Amino acid sequence: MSMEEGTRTSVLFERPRALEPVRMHYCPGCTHGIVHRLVAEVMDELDLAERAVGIASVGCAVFAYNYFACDMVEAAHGRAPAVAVGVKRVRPDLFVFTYQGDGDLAAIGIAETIHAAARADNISIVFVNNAVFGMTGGQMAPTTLPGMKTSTTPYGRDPKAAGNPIRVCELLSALDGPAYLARVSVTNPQRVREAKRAIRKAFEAQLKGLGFSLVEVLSTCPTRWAMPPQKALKWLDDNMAAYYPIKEFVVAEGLLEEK
Amino acid sequence: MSGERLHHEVLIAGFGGQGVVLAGQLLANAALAEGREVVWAPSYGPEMRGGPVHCTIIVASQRIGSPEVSLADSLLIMDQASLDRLAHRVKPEGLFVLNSSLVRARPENDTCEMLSIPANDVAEELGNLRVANVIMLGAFLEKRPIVSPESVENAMRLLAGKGYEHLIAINQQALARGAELAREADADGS
Amino acid sequence: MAIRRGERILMRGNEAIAQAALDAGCRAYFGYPITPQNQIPEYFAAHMPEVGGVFIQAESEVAAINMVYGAAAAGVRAMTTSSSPGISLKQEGLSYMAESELPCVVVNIMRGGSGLGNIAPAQADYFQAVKGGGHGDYRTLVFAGWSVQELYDLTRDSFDIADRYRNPVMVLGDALLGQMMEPIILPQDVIDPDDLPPKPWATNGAKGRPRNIINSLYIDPADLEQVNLRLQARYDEAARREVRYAGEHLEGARLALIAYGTAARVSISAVEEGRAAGLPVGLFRPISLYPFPSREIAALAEQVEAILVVELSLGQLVEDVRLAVEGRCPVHLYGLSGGIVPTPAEVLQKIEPLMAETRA
Repeated sequence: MSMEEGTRTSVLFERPRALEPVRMHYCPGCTHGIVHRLVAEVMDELDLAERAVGIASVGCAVFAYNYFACDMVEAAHGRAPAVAVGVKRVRPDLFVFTYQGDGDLAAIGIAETIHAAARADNISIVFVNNAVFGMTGGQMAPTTLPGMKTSTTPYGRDPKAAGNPIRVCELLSALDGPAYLARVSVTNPQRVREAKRAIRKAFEAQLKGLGFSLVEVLSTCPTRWAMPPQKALKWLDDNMAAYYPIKEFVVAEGLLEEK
Repeated sequence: MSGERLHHEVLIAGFGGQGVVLAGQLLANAALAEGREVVWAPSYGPEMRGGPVHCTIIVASQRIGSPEVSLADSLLIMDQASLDRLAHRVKPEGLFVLNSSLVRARPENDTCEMLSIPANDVAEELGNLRVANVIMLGAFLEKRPIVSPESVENAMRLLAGKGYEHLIAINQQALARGAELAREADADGS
Repeated sequence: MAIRRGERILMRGNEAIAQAALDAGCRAYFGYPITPQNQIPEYFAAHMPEVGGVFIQAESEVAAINMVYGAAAAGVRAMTTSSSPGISLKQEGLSYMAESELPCVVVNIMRGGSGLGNIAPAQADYFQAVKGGGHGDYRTLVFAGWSVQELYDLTRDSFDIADRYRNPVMVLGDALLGQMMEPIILPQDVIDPDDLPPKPWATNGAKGRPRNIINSLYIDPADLEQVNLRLQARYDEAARREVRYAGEHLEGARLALIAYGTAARVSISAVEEGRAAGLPVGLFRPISLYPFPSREIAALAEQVEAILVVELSLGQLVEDVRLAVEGRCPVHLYGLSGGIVPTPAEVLQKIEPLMAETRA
């Protein structure tokens, strides 16, 4: 916040420094923009931009390297955790995070995700789960709900044929490596504030050297869900949040001391 | 080994645990110390304990071209299965050194020189079955002195490493005993 | 045990490669076990901690090359190694690294293929290595050694070359060269990573400078074209500066053998036996496979009456030789596959009838 002397004007809301002043490409009503903003706000609060390296992934967030005002590396599909491990291991002084969608993280990149978590690699993952492949045209994702219609499950996802959804936080909870695992959403202001707190905890876990941290953000895709944004938010609350419980799964002791 | 042109290809074969690889490395290191050109190569197979294993060593006075040995000048054979597998991999005027403790049938070959050494039995007499490989090496070097026993002993010290120094003495004995057996065999005309 | 430098020691090819990387200032190695190159990750696991570097046994070949991508992006000299099937898995990462203009060194200790193949020596990954390997309009620079010493020297130089061209460099060996021991002299001087030139493009924290982006996505074709033309210009420069080759007994030769790696080792034995028998035969040995010594082979084709390519594959190297020769003289092929290594006598058997032809 800044305040100019001699006036009563004060800035109450502005673009976080960690976001570039550029127009984003996301569809109207998409929650990626909110999540970007939360990541950038936490980077500002923790003064990370000058020592951060972000790893963008393949999917709707592929252009994240244009949006975060820090060094960025664009990774191949699914490989963001491996790339992050490469950066972090040779430069442990840097703050390294990935920003990945559900296709990238939970389909083609699930091995890299699980092994980075199992090794307790000291990186942070922001995992945006909107239950669909957005960029490629709305195909089934590993997180697509049973019965949910996508362009490759036109009659609704039949678990007998197309398998069951993957609950990433629950899956990773079975490992000893993670220091912080949480699922959040951004469907209302309270949820947004909770989401930001979770992202901050995840980043702090890395700064304290506690190991792997991941925040799964349940997100909407009005375009591929074929719903108006408001309806999409409600659909998320009613359906996704029921299948994917919003809660903290792992909180390392070092983070609890904060309270 | 002064000035004379040397190019000798050796194949050592046995089963895992018989010290085939180590015998080859002793020979290779001895040759290196004597300023020779040398190649040591293991057999490439899936590594299995107790499975067949062999290695090749080329010792030469000149640059070594092909590292692959097709027909060896000398075969050191530690067991029957290795003989069955590799008996054909020797030059017509080559040398067989056979561990007669584990090789019952002699190869059908009337052009090669044959030397049979009961390496396992002698090793047990010396007090350690595991020096059979070095007994074979000692016998071979008596027949084909491509490196000196002193160089092999130096190689033992180099390769023994920490915690294995106590084994050097018995290996020296084994090397000498192998040479002795080769001389005795010559005297017997066997 | 401290390693002895400046005197002849015995080392496996695989170990020499790993030591070369350490001596070149490589401080990050990521790999996945595969025979016949396992001594490389094992050597790094033992010795990388001594220099404070990073060793990770990755969950897959795919993860390993992407860890290299990250470490290289952060400005550190990084490496991965594998054998044929594993190198196939790394091609995606190599394509990304080339387009993102990131240096790294990759070693392929080639084994018999295709598919799972076997673990015997082969050279069947020649096309994959020199023609780009992965998707897109890029090349890796490729060097092939024929001895343990040369594998050390080439691996070490490859880190400098990778940094100079900001491009992946591949070193080719095979199951035999990787696993055999030969005398080698390790130089006394080793590179301290702190002494290497800075990499202003690295993503290592945008403190006091504009942010850096490492990327291979260029939606506008005109932008991507610019990047690809820049890569091509570097490959053209490499063709002027990095071509390496060696010749043996080529003076007065009427037949030239062309071979690299293990095939060249067998060929030189055949050539020397041939020369001893009075046959005017020599060996030309490409050491850089990309850039390829095309000009030198063209000149050779003017000098000899025929060329015989010996390769442990069924007609890969011979294509580049024929492109270089451009019909100046007949080019024959002796190709072997599946992990079969010929004997010098077998190569000589191919030489003799060709010599008779040249005399005719």
